[in-house]
Amino acid sequence: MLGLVKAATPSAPPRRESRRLSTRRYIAKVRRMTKSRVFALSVSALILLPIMFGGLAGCQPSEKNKNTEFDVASFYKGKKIKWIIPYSPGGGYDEYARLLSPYLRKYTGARFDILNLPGAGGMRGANELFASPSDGLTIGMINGSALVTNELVGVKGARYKIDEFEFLGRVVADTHVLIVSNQSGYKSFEQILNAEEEVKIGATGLGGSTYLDAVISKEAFALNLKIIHGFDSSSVIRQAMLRGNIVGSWGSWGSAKDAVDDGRHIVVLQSGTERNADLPDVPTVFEMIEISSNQERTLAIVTAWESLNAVGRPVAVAPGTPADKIQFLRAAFDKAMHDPELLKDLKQAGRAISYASGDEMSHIVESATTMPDDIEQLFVNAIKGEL
Amino acid sequence: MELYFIVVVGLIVAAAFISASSYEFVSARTPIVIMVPLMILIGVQFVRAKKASRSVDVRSVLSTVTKGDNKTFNRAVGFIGWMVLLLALIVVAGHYVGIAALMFILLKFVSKEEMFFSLALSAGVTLVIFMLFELGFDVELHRGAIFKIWAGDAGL
Amino acid sequence: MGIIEGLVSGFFQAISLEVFPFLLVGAVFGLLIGVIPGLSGHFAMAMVIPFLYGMEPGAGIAFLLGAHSTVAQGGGLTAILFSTPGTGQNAATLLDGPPMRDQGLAGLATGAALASCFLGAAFGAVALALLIPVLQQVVLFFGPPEIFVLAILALTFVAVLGKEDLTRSMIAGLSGLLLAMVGLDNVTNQERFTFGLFELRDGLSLVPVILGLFAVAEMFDLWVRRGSLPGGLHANRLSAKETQKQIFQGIGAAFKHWWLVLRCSAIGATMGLIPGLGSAPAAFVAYGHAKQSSKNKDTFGKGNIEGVIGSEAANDAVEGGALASTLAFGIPGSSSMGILLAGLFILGVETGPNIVTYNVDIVFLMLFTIIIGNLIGTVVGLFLVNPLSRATSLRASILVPILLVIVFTGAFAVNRSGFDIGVAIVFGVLGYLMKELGYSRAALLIGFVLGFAVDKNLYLALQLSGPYFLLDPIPLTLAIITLAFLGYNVWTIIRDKRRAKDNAR
Repeated sequence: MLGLVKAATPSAPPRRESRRLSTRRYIAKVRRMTKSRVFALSVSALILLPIMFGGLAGCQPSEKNKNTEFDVASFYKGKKIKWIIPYSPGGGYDEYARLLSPYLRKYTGARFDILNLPGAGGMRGANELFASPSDGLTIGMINGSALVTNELVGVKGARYKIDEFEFLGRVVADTHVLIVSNQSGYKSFEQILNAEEEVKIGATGLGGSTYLDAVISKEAFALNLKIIHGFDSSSVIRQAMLRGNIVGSWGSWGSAKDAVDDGRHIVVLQSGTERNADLPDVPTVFEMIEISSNQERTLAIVTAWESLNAVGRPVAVAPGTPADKIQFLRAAFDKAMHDPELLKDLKQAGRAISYASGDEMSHIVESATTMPDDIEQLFVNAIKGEL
Repeated sequence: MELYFIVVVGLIVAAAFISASSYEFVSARTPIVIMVPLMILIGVQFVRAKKASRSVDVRSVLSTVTKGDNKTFNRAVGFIGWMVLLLALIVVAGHYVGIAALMFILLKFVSKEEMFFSLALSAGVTLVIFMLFELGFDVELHRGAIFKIWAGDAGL
Repeated sequence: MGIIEGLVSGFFQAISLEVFPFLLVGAVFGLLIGVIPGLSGHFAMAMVIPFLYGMEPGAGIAFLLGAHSTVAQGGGLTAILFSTPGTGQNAATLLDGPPMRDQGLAGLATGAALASCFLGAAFGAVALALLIPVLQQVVLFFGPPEIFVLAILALTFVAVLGKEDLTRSMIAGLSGLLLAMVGLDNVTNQERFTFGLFELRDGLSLVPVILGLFAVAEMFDLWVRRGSLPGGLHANRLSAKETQKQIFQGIGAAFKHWWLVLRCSAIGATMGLIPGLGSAPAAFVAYGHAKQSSKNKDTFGKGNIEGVIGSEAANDAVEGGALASTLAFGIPGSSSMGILLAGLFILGVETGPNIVTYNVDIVFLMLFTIIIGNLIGTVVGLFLVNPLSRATSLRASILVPILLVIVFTGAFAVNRSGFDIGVAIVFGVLGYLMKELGYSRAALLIGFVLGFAVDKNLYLALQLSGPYFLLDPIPLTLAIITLAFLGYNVWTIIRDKRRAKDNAR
């Protein structure tokens, strides 16, 4: 640093004295600069090339779709795989990825570089994944359910097709729960069903999962709900619950867990066809169908709803990736997700897991995107807030 | 000078006002509430600026500026040019190439530093940033569109 | 366990061999992150999280909180020395820090900043410990209506800051509010002012805007004037000894102004308690208060040390307040708090109101971590000041390219988006123009930061309590305070103008 400063306060060179820049001299100067610039740029290119190649190392030229018999495993050995996460570091998706990557490394032989690309509620990551090279060296964890609803509604900016992704498997499909504050006076779903006054339920953005859950549940069970959406985040909702401004909200079980364990919140309803192991006393939406007045319709709605939820958080690669690579990655993913050490890690981190294989994912996505027309219209209206 | 600024700002706000009036009520409410006093104030400021600028001959200022005789203006525009160039370089050729190249150009040509010094400093800073961000923070800096296209990446 | 036992246990845990090294590393790490423009506390903690798996709770907490607590100190250093705020919280320091540096008082400014940070953090930490049991009641008072009025109150500080030219600063402030409206409104899914650009759907990101407005604009200015940072005309490069002396003087000054520090820390901690406001407004509000209560109001903005002390004390105390409310409810008040909670969860630390009953030693461990972490940050910062201030005397022609490149990298790194760099450039040009024409950039920033809170909370307040929410006790009181404050300031402006006219005759 000292040497630099000495050079910075020269006592001599008049080279930077004020120059009168008349137009002509300016042009001449520019001409001179251009000539030597060419020379200098080539010199700097020579010096910078090594640095560039350091960066290039992360970029692999695409493999042509050869169906030769080379060993896929040896292809992956020692390679760097980019893992796109559509949210900022520190969030849930990020955590899953960081917990998983050592195990995926174990079973693929490749290193995983986590790339956080937040924006547009997960859509940016999905767009990037969709457009990434189909050489099998980029995978991504996507917010499956949100992407399906976005596509259903035809959201602007969605540059992907959910059913064209090649799925490696699903990490988790969160159980959605309806929680109420312990001071609200409501202790069970029946009470809410029979509530005489409006039950205020909070939700985040229009079209978001907490909003959709609220609206759909209201529609399916003819609940007397007033849905107040526009809350910034689930934390703000929880604060409002504490203050008594709202009674409760829908959300994922994972994020509600600690408040429920504390006793501050009560779960009255859960999604899913079977009761979650942590919630043995809480009825599921399917169980509640029998009290509905129009059981057939309620069943149709709840089934569609469940199929949406089932998409959960899958891992996928870009469309067009060669079949053998997909196979290999799927197998590795399967092994990783069943590794007892990973299960232990996830438990310690308090993260749930509900594995579905790549094959199963394609079926899940298919049933999520093919609903009977009237139900689809219902969902579209719900997402748009027109219900 | 300020007159132009105010006019531009006023135009932008007016455009915003027009587009906001096409929004749904709930979304439009706050922006419009903000813009009404804003427009008034801009108007006030416009009047003030006009009063103050009466003493300056607009045309002569303009001609000085366009002829290239106003050093400050030249350097300012030049700086904007450099920044845009840097951004373009970063997007096209990648972050490292962009910053290294631009630093070098600025140091060597515009600041007239010695060749060796420019090269060394450019390479040095680039290296430090590389180590800090890629190795230290695990943040991958943009690779550059050229490379991506070469690699078959359809996205950016 | 009892309070005293908890206190003692926490203290000894903090300095124990298993914990202290992590505290040290975390604090230094946080300081460095703070120095790099564009990287903030959120980033620092996200970096720390992967290391937490398998750590002992004590060590993990020390690492996490140590890193978190020193970021604002690092940011303060770069704000003063390079006119580049390292983090959003340090934007207020830009108002008086760089002018002090230009007068050759860089050492004084940095010494005062570091010390105020430390004192502010200590205050915040103590407030944290004291408040957690009662927090439940206090914070619950602040719902959307209250936050809305509070945000408006903070906005009226724009009037204080720009008293010299009310029209211009109001324009700046209102424009800032307007800029905050850019993006997707999540209530109606209406895209506002996005011009169909995908990148603008989430609105303008705070970091590129701050970097552009303040850092890029400063570099713009430097480049155009061809000076070097210390003002350009006189080679005001301080010798190492001189700087060192000044630093100690600065530290002394912070202690001398202890009452100011206390008040500003209180402001910081209080505003930190309220979720959703963010840390930048607290620093500005404290700055405004410092200016308001000072005997030399006019020297503010030209290098009054009280301005530096006030803003730095507040921005560290904010963290204490935010931490208190986060711990008390287990509900994060901001994104960095969210990461903190995730980290605590990984370490197996329970949060929620029961933390005081069952784990009071952990609370005290956190308290001491923050205090000691900040102390380490101050000490290390002291050593950093001299070499860094050498760098400021480099010629602009060398310094600007280097800083520009660093700032661009920082702008990119936040969301890994080239668009953000473009945002920084645009705001850089805007900031430069504003600087030249005398518009308050601080006002724009406050407007921008608070705009979101104002809009959202107004909507929620109306939804939840109907249009008469203003008549509830707390909003009403706050509204009255706001009006009184505004009225007083307008009155003094008119009075001063009248006096000036009388004097001119």
